[in-house]
Formats: sequence, C-alpha cells, structure tokens
Amino acid sequence: MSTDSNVALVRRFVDEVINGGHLDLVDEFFAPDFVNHSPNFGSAPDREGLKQLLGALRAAFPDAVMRVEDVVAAGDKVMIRFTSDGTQAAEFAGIPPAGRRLQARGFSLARIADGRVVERWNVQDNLETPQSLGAVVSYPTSTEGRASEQGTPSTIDKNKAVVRHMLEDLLNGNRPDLVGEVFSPEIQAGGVAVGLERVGQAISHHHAEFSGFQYIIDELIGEGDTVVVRGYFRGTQTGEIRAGGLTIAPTGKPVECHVFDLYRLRDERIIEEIAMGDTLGLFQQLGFVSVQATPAEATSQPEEVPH
Amino acid sequence: MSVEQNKAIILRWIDVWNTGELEPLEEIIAPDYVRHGEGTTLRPESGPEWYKQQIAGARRAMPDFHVTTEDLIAESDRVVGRWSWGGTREGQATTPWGATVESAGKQVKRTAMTITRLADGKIAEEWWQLDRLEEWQQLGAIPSPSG
Repeated sequence: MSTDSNVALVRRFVDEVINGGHLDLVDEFFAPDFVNHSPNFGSAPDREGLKQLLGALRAAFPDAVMRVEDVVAAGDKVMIRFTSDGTQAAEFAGIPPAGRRLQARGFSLARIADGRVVERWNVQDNLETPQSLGAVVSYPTSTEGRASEQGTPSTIDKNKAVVRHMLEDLLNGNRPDLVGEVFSPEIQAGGVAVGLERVGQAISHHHAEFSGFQYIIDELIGEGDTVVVRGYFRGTQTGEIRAGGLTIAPTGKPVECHVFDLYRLRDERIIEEIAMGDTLGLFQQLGFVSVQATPAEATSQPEEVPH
Repeated sequence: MSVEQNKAIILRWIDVWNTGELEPLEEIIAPDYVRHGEGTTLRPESGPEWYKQQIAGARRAMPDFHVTTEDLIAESDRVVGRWSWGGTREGQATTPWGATVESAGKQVKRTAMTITRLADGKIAEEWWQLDRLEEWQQLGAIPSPSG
C-alpha cells in the first residue's frame, strides 16, 4: 500500500465511520489482530473494544464531528491531528448528559498493513467548550491522555464559544436578558457605540420581524481577537422590516438570508460587530425587487460581482 | 502551507484586482475553483479563466477600480477578507434582475467579505458576501430613502 492509499484509508474511516456513523464498517478498516495501544475510556485494547467504544461515543454524542486538521504519512504509518466537537446527549463515562458542547483535540497514529489498521496510538485532550465559561472538565482518556496537560482552550476557542453561545442561545432563544454575558457595555456595531440595551432590542426585533427566526452557523473562523461567522437565518416575515432605509410590510413569506458577521472580543466579551447580509436577496424573496434574478444570472455577470 | 503563506496568496489576488495584471491568476486560482455566494454555487470550467473575465469585467466597468484590505483573518486552510472597494462607473449597469441603469460617472463605494479555502497554495473555494442592496441604491436602481 502506498502512503496515499493509507491516508485515504484513514480519511475514509473518519468520514464514514466516525462522522457517518457506519459502525458496521469497522472490520473493513481494522485488522482482526488490531492492537489499540491507547484504549480510551477503559475500552478493551482490541477491535471489539474499539467497536464498543465507537458505539458508546456515537450514542453519547450523536452530532459529534471530527475534523482532520493535519495528516502526515510515512512508510506504513499515518498520523492525524484532529479536533472534534459534539453535544452530550446521553451519559458517558459516568458523566450525566447536560446538553454541553464538548470538544476534543489530539493526535492519532495508525500503522497500516494490507489495507487495514493493525496498531493505533492516540493522545488527546477532552475539553468542555467554555460556553458556561466555568471549569474546564478533562475526562480520563488513556494512560497517555491522563499524562497529557489539561490545558485551557486557547483564546480563539473561547471566543468562538462566546460567539456560538450568543447566536445559538441568545439570538435563537430570544434572550435579550442575557446580553451582558456575551457583549461588552462598549459594544460597537457598524462603528457606532450602541450599548447593551439596543443589542437586546435588536435580538428581540429579529423575532418580531420573522416568526420561527433561526440562525444557522455554517462556519466559524478565528484569529487573534476576531471571530468570523458564515451562516444564514430563516423565518417567516410576519412583522415590518426596515433595511437600507426602506420599509417592508409583513408579507407572510418564508425567507432564507445568507450572512457574514465579524466579531471582535476582549476578555471574552464581544466589543465590535460588523455584519454583512444578503439584504438584496432578502428583498427579492419578499417580492420587493420586482423581477427576481435566477441564481445563474446573479453570479455570472462579471461587472456586477466584483468579488 | 502556513496561514501566513495563505494570506500572502490572498494579497497577490488583491493585487490582480487592483492592477488588472491577470497573469498571476494562472498560479493562484485552482483549475477546479468553486464559488459560493448568497445561496448559489458556481463551478466554472476553468477557475483561472473565469477569474480573468471577472476581474477584467470589473475593471472595464470601473477603470479606477480599487480594493482596500480592511481585515485579514486566517485559520487552518481558510482566509477571511473584509474589503472596501469602489471606483467610478462607466456606461450602463445591468442589475441582477435584468434592468439597465445609466451609471456613467457615478461613484461606487462599497464593502465585501470573502472566505477563501486554500489548497496546495491555490484559491480552491470561495464564499462571498456583498452589500448589494446599497450598491444598487447608489446606482439608482433601487429607491433610496429620501428621509
């Protein structure tokens, strides 16, 4: 087997078994005499033990996703650096479910022979994302895992968790009473200091404009003090909308609007927001701009789409 | 590639927008480049060719077209750019819904954000967002509030 096909094997395992939940495929990826040198969470160090562990993880974290951040391959070995996160929905390793988002990051090394993994070594930290911003819970993972440092999440991870908390709990949950948890009193929007009260009003306003308002995060990207969110919101326009200086009376139409938002944080509080949304597309969906473009027209006219 | 190398590629891409020198696109745009914006996905036959037409078209419409970098944020294989762009329009502009507006001499000054995924030192995938409502308001294709 070439290193390329070994890398492909590991990537397929992550995609199909870990992220896809096809636990029945474990035998295709692991040899019968597979040895797990890092049997996490007290699992048996063989293929059966791995199957049981994967099943238990899937049951406890049904929405968990593992992202392969780096892959290094040489000879018969493939090493990945990964991050995972998921919401705990059932008891796991004696820890009751609390709907918490949990995050893990680590390295995993596989030795491959005849197209299947024969040995595995793994070191990882399991971190609760600091949404509740309390203690960082570190679970026992393996002998190596216990010995590894129980580091706190980086500032970027903390900032991402603040932004996720804001969007999923405050915005989607219509909880203007919680703005002080995630926004600084110095919050600026579009370059103007707006104050916490107006941020809270803006949250409620979205729900007044759109019944069933929901913001869905597609992607979070962070560097330094900045977090960028790509996502979209949807809802049914049952309230008056004011945008771009224009007013649209309730139409009862369902809409979906794509949005980019840039947030700057200080001390785990949002101090600046710059939002950019597809307001024109929103107006088109509401019938305000009379002739709606087809997607092909909208994206194929060079001079109108400078980026 | 490091995030700094990825940022350097994005800055080369911005140089192409600002100079109209299109050749570097051959090097920095992946042949199978994919573009997402406002719920639509575009898969041009050739990424570099598509981008050449795009940038040449923008510079024909605004010969003094210029982009300024407001923010550049990178993590993993992604680079986020926040941009100010603008210029002086020539001739007519066609709206996305097929209307024509006389735009000669009008100033456009707008913002945009892009998220770019880089692979093997090339721009492989891009998500974009423009404030198109205000753009067409500036060009008079959509009414602006009179107060």
